[in-house]
Formats: sequence, structure tokens, C-alpha cells
Amino acid sequence: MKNKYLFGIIALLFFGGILIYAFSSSSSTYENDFQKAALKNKKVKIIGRLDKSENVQIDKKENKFSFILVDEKGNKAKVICLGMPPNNFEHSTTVVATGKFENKIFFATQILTKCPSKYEAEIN
Amino acid sequence: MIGNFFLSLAFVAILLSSLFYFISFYKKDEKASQIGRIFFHLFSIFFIAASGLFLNLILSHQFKYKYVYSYSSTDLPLGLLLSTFYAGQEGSFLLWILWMTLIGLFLDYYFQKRKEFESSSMANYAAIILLLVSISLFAKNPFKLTYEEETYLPIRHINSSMYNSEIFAHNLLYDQKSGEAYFKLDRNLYEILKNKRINLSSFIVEGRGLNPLLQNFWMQIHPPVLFIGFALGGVLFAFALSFLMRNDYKNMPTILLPWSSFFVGILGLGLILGGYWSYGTLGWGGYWGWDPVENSSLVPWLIGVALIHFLLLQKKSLTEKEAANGSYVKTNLWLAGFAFISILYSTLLTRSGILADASVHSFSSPEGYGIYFLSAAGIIFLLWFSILFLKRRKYLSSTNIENFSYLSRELALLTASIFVLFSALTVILGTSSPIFGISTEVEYYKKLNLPIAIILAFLNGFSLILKWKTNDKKETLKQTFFYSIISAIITVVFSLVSKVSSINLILLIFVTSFALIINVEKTYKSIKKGILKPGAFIAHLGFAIILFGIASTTGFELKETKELLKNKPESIFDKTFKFKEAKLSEDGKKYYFEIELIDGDKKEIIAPIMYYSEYNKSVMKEPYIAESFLYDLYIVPLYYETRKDETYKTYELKKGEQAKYDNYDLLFEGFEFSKDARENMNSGKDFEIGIAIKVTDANKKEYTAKPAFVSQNGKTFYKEYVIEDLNLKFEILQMNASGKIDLAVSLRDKTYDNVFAIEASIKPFVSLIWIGSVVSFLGLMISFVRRIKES
Repeated sequence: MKNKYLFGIIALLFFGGILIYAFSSSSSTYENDFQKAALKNKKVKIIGRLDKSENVQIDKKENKFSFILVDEKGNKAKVICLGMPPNNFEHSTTVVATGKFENKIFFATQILTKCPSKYEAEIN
Repeated sequence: MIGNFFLSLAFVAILLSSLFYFISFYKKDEKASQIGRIFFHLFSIFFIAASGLFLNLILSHQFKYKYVYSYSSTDLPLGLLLSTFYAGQEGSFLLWILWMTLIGLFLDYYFQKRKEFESSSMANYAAIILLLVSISLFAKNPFKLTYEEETYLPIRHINSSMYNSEIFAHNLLYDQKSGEAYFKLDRNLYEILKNKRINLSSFIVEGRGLNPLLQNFWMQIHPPVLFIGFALGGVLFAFALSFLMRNDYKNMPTILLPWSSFFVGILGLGLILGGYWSYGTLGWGGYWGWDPVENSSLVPWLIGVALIHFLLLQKKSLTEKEAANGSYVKTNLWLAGFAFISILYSTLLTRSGILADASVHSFSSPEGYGIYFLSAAGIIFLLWFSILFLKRRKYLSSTNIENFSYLSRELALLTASIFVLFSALTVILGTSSPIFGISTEVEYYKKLNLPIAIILAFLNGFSLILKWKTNDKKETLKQTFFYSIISAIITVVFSLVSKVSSINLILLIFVTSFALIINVEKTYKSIKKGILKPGAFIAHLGFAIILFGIASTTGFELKETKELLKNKPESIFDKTFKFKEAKLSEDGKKYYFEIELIDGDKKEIIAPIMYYSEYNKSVMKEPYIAESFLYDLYIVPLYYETRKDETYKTYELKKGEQAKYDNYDLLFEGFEFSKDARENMNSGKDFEIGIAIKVTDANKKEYTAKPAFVSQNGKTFYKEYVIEDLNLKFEILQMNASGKIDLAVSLRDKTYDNVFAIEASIKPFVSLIWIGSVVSFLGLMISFVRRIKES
């Protein structure tokens, strides 16, 4: 019986340790405020809406694209991401970008978009 | 309305069924059990009737029903139209209950030989159905009418002969942003229509239709299979509760083993079908993307896998001591319970909108009290389970026995099961993290589950070297060494051929080879003893094959992005790609980008697909996949555009000005504007204004190019001019009143290029993932048949 508990505790510590390590090293927090996000020197997910007054710039030679994201408070941030914009990018309402701020430019590794269903769109 | 009537009857019937079964169990009243059974049959009739009505609404396009309007349309082929039954949340709950109903009817038959289990199991099983039916009736009602809430329908969905009427004037709205006209539908309008005796279903003539992403062959198969798995989870949970109520656990392995094998087999099949679907449909990240929706079905599967192994341990311990209940009774009860609780939890998580920012799959924002229902139900069932468990805890602890040596198949199974559960834990934690405002990357799952996979693959093979109970150390070592040598040879060959350098992957290849060889040998040996014997070995063999496939596709994938110019051959992976043209499909919905692929002597036309989806308001892409045993050629369309090429140059010239194009001297000599032309222009007739460009080549040979501005039948355009000998094309871009012109010169036929960009990849041994899955599924089904015969 004693062995069983010892085994259990060791297993628990072992798995718990690995879990916490993996979790902390590959997770990021959501940030609604770009100013705060810029101060954090680590990977974050920023949530904002696409600034539609500025064009999404696509650089096909370098295989990257950039755009301006606006947060709730109206802070703007330039986002650069490798690859091509996702399918429904230009029509998106909310954009979630994963990456890191470097000198006020957000270098994203992943972009997720949320699109409005046109039937849910506000109609005035 | 009649649909809701039947659904309500079903609700009452299943409530009474559960109640009478409970009475029967606690009052030891056989009659009550019979009444419970009658009510269950009544429930089945009512519920199947309600489902039939619902299906009929879909098939007859009754768009006055919100669900039918939201998920179907008249242009869907029959198969896909049928699949809209479960395209939305409301319908998917119906499907879930429908499977539980059918399985319930089978259980009724199953219990005829096992009377003593009937009332306690069916009471709980009916209670689970009751929960789902109440969600369907009160929170996610499939029979809601379109006008019950204010809804805006695009004008094209309305019968055009009707909406122009004066009375509807204030229902018509124009959205400037999208440029579309909408029709406001609400209760008032319904009243107006009713007074005019217009049927709402003839008023709304078209539905929103099915999301193009779901318009896929697998939509007809994957969700139903997955929901059978979910329904089987309910069976396991009901049985676990039943054992606790009866406080008799000796039969647990014999009863639960076939059901859990079936559960794992079907749920696994559902998962892999989803994987195969997402592999063929783009943007979902290959065959597995660790997306919350995928994860949430993976967790119950992993728990089921652990359950099978712990049940086996209990079974083995039972053969030794007749009187006791065997070991791991508590563990098995909890696992059977959590297989179902985790299904509820994942349903809650993926449908509540909590994961809206984290999932690729689009989910509606939290809606109604469906979430509260699910959470409440989950908590009630967990409490019910815990109360029963606590009541039996002392008894269960006193009957626990564990006696196996450290070198035994028992310990190997135990360790493997713990690692499977650990994997489940990592997935639950990662998937739940958005609740706490934290997001986990795909890396997190990979980092943790790759080592687990290595350990599991090793144990997969090693546990079979070991015998039950005890083993001779020397003999074990000898065998392990023998198999390791063969695996090492395979690994070395494989690594040299593929030049892989990741230690983890080499290890994974090694251990999967190890497991493969042993399982093949064991299957071969045991198949001689009877066709049903090798079920477990076949299932494990399949698992090893899957892992081998995963290791090779992740480790040795080749990827290249390339822009293909029209008719220009490009070489990727020793194959020649030549983009031919973009062809519109026959139904005019999709563009097929035809590429001529030359591979050695073989020449074929392949076509990745892109199209604009009105439904999603975005461009959809479908890859082209050439599947073969050794590797898949996977071609993703990136973009298609018309681009000016480098030979294209523009000039701004005044009369008499010179310019240079390549080796040619250009001179703008002047306009050619005849008197006739001038008169024609003034009188509004057809006319032409030409310009003359003198072109001198390196050998001082002279040519004249005469592009022109033309007015014909009231339309104006610029006419290009080609100097055939030089293969040069001249176009006027603009003519100014000041006498300046903008001129473009280029090589003929090369003015514009159609650029089609692709990402091509070679995925080695993806086929093994599908083959392994089929093998594994077969193995589990063989086990199921064998175990159900034993029980």
C-alpha cells in the first residue's frame, strides 16, 4: 500500500511538472489593450478590429502581409504576418493575432478571424 | 406545432419511463419495470415521430421553420439535404437523442437475458435521455418558427410576386454597407399574412443554405458516426450508475468490455473520418489540428481507451480471487462516468461560444439557456454519481486487491493507461484554457503528446512480450533485445533514406516499428486459435500503423510554394507543373485551376479549386490530393491573379519625342486624324484616331506601329497594334487633349500573365494513418463481438 502512494506521488509530481512547464511555455494571454500588450515582452494574443480605412498590404515576393488593427480604446497597431491573409480576412469583424510586439510593430505568427453572419449585421 | 406536440409527449413518456424504472429498482417491483418499459417504447414512438416530422419539414422545404430556413436550401442534392438534419445545434441534439433511442431499444432486447440489470440501468439511461430531450424541447427547439424573433431575410429569399405589395413597404429595408435589400420578418407581418391567407412557407421560398465548408461527402457520414459514439457514452455512464446502485461489481468487466470496445471503435472512427474530411478540405490544418472541437471528442475517446485496459486488469484479477470484486473497480466506475461527463463538458465548451476566439470552427455566441441546461445536467449527474459512489466507497476500498510483480503485463497495462489518461488531461487543460483567458498553442499539445506517444508505442509492443502475472527476467530481456535489433535496422534505413534529424521522431519510428513487428507476430499466432481471438492485437497493430504514419508525415514532409505562369513549366519535387487555365465548373459555382502534371512518363491534368462563397462572403479553397500508398501529393491553391510581366513598359510621349524599348528606338511621329474622322466625330458617327510610332531596330530597319483610339456604335476603346516581324505590341493607355499620349509596349502575347500560386507538399505515408485506423477499427469490432459473446 505504501508503495502505491509513493508511486502515485512521484507520478503526480512528474506529470504535474511537465504539464505546468509545457503549459506556461506555450500559452499566451488575450490582450484587449495594445498599449499594455506592447509592454509585455512575450507572446500574446491581441484582439481588435481591422482598420478598413487602410489597405491590407500583401507582399507576395516576401510572402507576408500587413494591416492595421484597432483595439477597443482606439489604439492602433501595425501587424505583420508571414503567409497570406486567411480566406475571409477583409470581411472580418474581429481579428485575433498571435505574436509579439517589437518596436511598436506586432509580428504575428497566426491570425484568426471572426466574420459576421450577414443576417446578423446591424441594419439601419 | 405538431412536432412540438410529439416532442412534449416524448418528454413526458421518458420522464415516466425513468421514474418507473427507478421505482422498480428501489421498491423491487417487477411490475413497475414493465410500466417503465412500456413508457420507453411510447417515448421511442413519439420521438421517432417527431424526428420524422422534422425530416419531412426539411425535405419539403418548410422555410417558415427557423431551422429549415437557417441550414437548408432548395438547391441541395438529396444526400446533403438530409444531412442538414444535424447541421445546426438543434438538429444535432435530435440526432444524438435518436441514436440513444435506437440503442435503448436494443438495450431492451439485451436485458431480456440479463433481467437483473434492467431497471437500474434503464432508469439511468432514460434519465440521460430525459436531460437531452429537455434541452431539445426547452432550449434548442428545432421547431421554432422564423417569425418568432425579428429576422431579416435577403429579398431574394422572398417570393417576388408577393413582397412588392404596398402593405409590405415598411418591411423592406436597404443596407447600404452591403448593398443588399432585406425583408423584415416579425410577428406583425405574420398576422398580416395570416389575414390574407398566405402560407408563410409559400412566402419564404428559399433558405440560407448549408455552409459550403459542410457541403462535402463526409458531412453525410462523419457527424452521424460521431453521435453514435456520444450515445454509447451514455450507455457506459448508465451502466456505471447501475453497478453502483446494485453494489455488485463482479460482472463489470464482462458487461462493460464489449460496450467500451464498441464506444472506442465508433468514436475513433468518427474522429478519423473527421480527420480525413479536414485533410481534404482546406484551412482546417491537415488531418489533425488540435482544434477545440476535435479535442473535445478526443478526450472521451482517450478515457474509453484507458477504461478498456483497466477493465482488463479487473477481469484478470477476478479470475484469481472468486469472492472479491477485483482490482480497479473504483477507477473503472470513474472512467465510465467521465467518458460521458467529458462528452457533456465538450458539448458545453464547443457550443457555448466560450471558445469563439480560439476555434477555427465558427460557433455562435452564447445563446439562450442551452448552456445552463447542459451545465446543470452535468452537475446533477456528477452529483448523483458522487453520492452513489460515496455510499459505496468503504465497501469498494475493502475489496480492492492488487498483486502483480513489477515485470508483468499488468503493470505495463497500468502504466500505459496512466499515460493515456495523462494525455487526456493535457488535452482537457489546453482546450479549457480559453475560459481563463489563456490560449494554448498547438505546440503545447505536440510537446506533451509526442513523448507520450513514444512511451505508448513502446508499451504497446513491450506489454505483449510480457506474460500476465510474472515473467522471467532473462527471457524478457532476450526477446526485447531481439525485437529491438529488427526495429533498429528499420529505423536506420528509414532515417538514412529520409535524412531526418529529430531525435524524438527517430525514437518514435523505432518504437512504432517495435510495436508493429510484435503485433504482427502476435496476430499471426493467435489467428490460428480462432478468428475472434486476435481482436486486441489487430487494434494495437492499427494503432502502431497510425503512429508510424504520423511520424513519417510530420517528420519527412516536403513543402514548396511556387507561382505558376500560364503555360510555363515549373519544376517542383522532380515533377513538372504547367498551369493551363482556370475553368468554371458546369454548375458555374467553382473554378477548377487546371495544371498539367508531368511525372516521368505520366502526364495528367490536376485541378485545385477556388471559389467565392456568397454564404461565407469569402474565397474558399480546396486542395488537390493525389493519394498513393507511399506519399500524398497535396496541392493547395494560394491565389490567382492577372499580372503585368516584365516586358511590359509604359511611356509618356509628346509628339516628336523619342524613347527606347530594349534595342529599339521609338519615335512618336504624330496623330493620324483624317478630315473624315473629324467630321464623323462631330456628327456622332464611328471614327478612329490613330498615332504613328516609328520603330527602328538595331540594324536600322524601320517599322511603323499604328495603335488607335476607336469609337464604334457609341462605344470607345483603344485598338492595339502588333508589328509581326518584331513580335512587339503597342497599346495606347491614354490620350490627352494636350497632345500627350501614354503608351505601353510589350512583347506580343506576353502583355499579361495569369499567375496561379500553389503550395505543393509531399506527405509521406499519410495513407498509413487511414489504413491503421481501419485496421484498428476492425480489431475493436472483433473484440466487441468476442466480448459480447462472453458476456
